[in-house]
Amino acid sequence: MLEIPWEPLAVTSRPKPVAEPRAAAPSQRAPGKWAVTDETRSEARADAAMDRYAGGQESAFSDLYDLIAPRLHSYLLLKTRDESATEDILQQTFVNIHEARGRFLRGARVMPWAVSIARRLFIDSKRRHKRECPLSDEHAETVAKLVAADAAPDLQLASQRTARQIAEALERLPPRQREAFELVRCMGLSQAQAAEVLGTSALAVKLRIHRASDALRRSLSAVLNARQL
Amino acid sequence: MKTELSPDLKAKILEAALSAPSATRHEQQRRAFWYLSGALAVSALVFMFAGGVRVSGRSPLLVLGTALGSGALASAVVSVVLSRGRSMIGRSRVTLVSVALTAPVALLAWKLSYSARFAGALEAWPARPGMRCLALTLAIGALPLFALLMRWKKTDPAHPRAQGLAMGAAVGLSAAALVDLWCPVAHVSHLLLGHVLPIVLLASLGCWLGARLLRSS
Repeated sequence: MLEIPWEPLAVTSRPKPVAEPRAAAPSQRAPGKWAVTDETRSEARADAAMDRYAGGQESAFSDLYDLIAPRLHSYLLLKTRDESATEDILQQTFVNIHEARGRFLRGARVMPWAVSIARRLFIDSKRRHKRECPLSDEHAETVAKLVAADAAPDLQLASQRTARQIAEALERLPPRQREAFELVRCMGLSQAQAAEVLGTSALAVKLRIHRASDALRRSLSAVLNARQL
Repeated sequence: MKTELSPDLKAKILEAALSAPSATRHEQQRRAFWYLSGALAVSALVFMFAGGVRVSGRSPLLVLGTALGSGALASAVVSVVLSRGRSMIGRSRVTLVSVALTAPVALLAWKLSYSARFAGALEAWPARPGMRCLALTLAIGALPLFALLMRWKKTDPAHPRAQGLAMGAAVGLSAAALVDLWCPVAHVSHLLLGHVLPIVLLASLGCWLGARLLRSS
């Protein structure tokens, strides 16, 4: 089932649609001592699969793919806005993981590492092509699909319009804030994992997400008010 | 957030992975063991060939104290730089760069402050500007640095340059700790040229190699 990337923005009945970071949906909450979420379990399975693959069990690569590829694909699609570029980078990410499997530390977490490789490959590819990717209708449509997949048909049009506005608002965020927001809110990484990927502290990530949420709230307040009526 | 993926993509990726076999953890560990053992053996041979431990009229307490202090510093830096906990991405850039910058300064401060307790230990030796210490430290440190970088090759740390820089500083500091057992001079200009500069050079080499070896693309 598709999950809604910006859960607080997609729920219309809440009085304050853009909630504080702590009020995120359970699946987006940072894995904690008391909260064993689906994503935590899935990550633990992915870590175990990577461990088996590093140990030489070839079939574990397929399990690893099934567990982490969908999230990496979504992340890359948000970044590249292009399906074929996304698939190329995804493929290269898995080839890199395969090549370095023998160096994977026992008990290490695979997801932040995989995201870090994918992110770097995306940056390299962007540098190589040296092209700007303006927000296209296709991209807005992709975001709309992600946001509105589970919505009732009569709400889909409104959701798509909102999605377009969300995509535009995200586009306007400073790159650091946008990246932290995408990793935590859209990818479901914990703040600590996002900090690892971005090479910064968890506190800095928390601050960036807070600022990004504030900026998004401001940008989208008109839309949200309209939806609450 | 998750999206649907085409089954063709999975088949393509599995096929690409199968077409290029990669070393398993066990094979990689065995390889790393031989690389590191070989590099350390060559370094030890170079040190022994240069003369090994030389007291040269120094107080044994001075030799032991400086070597222990430098060794402790080197161990601390190596453990910070090489330990990754449960992360494949490595430490933050700030930590790595701070360690790389602090290492040579800490060594210089320790050598000067500890040697100052012994009469005549800080005197200049005009015949020993530090070139031999420089060459020996570089000769001892180069291979272990390369072996370490090979151990981390293509692991995609978050900051490959900073990681290489810190690794170079850690190896340089370890080599300088060993050279402490050999060199009787603690004059500041000699220390700067013969003991601090090689750490800086090895760190720079590590930075350059890190950008080339640690990335997978």
